[in-house]
Amino acid sequence: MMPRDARPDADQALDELRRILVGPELDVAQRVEQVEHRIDDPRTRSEDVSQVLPQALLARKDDPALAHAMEKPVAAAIGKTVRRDPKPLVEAIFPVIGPAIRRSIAHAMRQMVEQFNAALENSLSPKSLLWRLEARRTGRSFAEVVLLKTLVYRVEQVFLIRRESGILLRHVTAPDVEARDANLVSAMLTAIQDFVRDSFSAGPEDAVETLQVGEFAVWVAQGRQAVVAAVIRGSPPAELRKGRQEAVDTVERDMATELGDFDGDTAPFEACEPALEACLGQATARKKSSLLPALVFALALAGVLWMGYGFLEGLVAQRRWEAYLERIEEEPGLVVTASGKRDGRFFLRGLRDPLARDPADLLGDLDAGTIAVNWELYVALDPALVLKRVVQAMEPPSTARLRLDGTVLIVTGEAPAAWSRRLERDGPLLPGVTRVDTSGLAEVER
Amino acid sequence: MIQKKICMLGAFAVGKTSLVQRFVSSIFDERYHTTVGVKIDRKDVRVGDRDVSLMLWDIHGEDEFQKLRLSYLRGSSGYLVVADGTRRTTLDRAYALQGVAERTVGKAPFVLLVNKADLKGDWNLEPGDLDEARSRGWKVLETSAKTGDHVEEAFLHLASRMLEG
Repeated sequence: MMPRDARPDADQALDELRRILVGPELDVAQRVEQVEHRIDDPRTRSEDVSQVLPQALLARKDDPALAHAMEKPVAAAIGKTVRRDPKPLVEAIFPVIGPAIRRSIAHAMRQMVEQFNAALENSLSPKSLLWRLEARRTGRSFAEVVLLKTLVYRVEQVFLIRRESGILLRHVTAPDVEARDANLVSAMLTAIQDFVRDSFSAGPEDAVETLQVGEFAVWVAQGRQAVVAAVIRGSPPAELRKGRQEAVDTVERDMATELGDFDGDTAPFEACEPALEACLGQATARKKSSLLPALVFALALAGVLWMGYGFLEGLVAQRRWEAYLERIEEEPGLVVTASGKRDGRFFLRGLRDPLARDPADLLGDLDAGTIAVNWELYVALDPALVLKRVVQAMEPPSTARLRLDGTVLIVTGEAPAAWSRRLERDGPLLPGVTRVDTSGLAEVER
Repeated sequence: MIQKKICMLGAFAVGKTSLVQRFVSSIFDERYHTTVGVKIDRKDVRVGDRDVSLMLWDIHGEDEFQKLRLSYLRGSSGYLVVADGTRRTTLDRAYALQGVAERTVGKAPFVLLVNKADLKGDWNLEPGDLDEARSRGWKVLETSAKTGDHVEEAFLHLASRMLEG
């Protein structure tokens, strides 16, 4: 048997023999081994895939299955990124949504200010009650009703119509205007034109230029192939008509090819929107005299200021009262039993030791006239007051020192013997003192 | 969105309006017929992958009091001619109206609808009456306002023919 360490030599020899015997096939075996390695080793495989991944994605970019497969991981990745650090995403989308938000806010603000101004100006006019009723009846906001009522005119809808077929090419509306099926209205408007032209045997170039119905007017400007019709509420000034005609001319000039080759596809006429939007517009009647609203505003302002001052004043008084109560609570010999506010005045009921500090000294900034106080006398057992009472009753010599330990009166220093006797006898009769300790007192003869 | 104007023509009381009533969106009522002489409705159809909005001008049936207003036909991309199977004369009228329409709007796709198919027992058409139309290559559909038979088909056929042309 071959020794164990001789084995590698034997393996090498075997490989050598194999190479001599089956030379070319060995290369194949090696390549198979390499391929196996590439497949089995995750790192090599990742490198391989990474080289073709971009091309692979590009090749399948139109395949809905790819979008479907990527939908969830991409959403999850974005979600995770945002949770971790929203800043990069915010920075990426800000250029897009920033201006949009700004525009939207500016628009909303402008509309609000316009409506508010109009509402304020008319809030006290005699008509306002009727308008309020109308607002309630129609479900519109009061400001909106005021705006509609004070309008001289407003162009609410503009139709761009293919002249012969009556097909609606484009339609724009003012904000908050509800339009019924504009395609049908456009066709019917054309039918009415035809009807009137036929009925009065007018020439093909003649057209109904104005339709007036109640508070609405329809102004029609006709071109060779297109018609612009504006629905106007109120009484528009004559110069407005020029704008309609200019819009038709612009459209016919800019869209000559599209109008000529028109086959029912209205999409290209989106480009006409700016010209049509320029026809939208409105004018509001300004009141000649603005004295009344100004007066109302001034009065309202004064009222608000007065209420604000009253409120502040009340707040300050309350704060001063609370501070007063706090000072009383801290003062020995003064006890508050009830306090509060009644009929606009602060009141206080309490107990007061005759030896305690005069509560009037504690008033601070509080006006004594604004409060009602009712003190009842009592004897406080507060150590400071007990000592005060002892001093008042016993008149100790200046050489004696008094202090309290609970209810025991301890006397030290020096004092005449007679006074010491009197203290020992009368001291325990005073409230708050049960015993007198004179052991630390040196008696002196006078 | 593609929009097309189509017209509906036919003699008086062939049932044009009731034929399409259930199939179209409408904001105008019947009175327009007797006043302006036309009522306009909208019919949206889908041809292949294209949405087509048909503006249907339902033109008042010609009678002794009201003449057909040709101006309503102008700008049409196609039309429906309606006859009443129970009245032979309305078919003659339909042939005549088709001629008028062709002279006004030129060669445009159209469909001949022979209405009241639900009353086929009462029809008084000769067996060869419709063959003449078919032999001219016309699309002829027997429709019923009551059951709605072939109405949708008529719109679809007309829409796809208009898109081809």
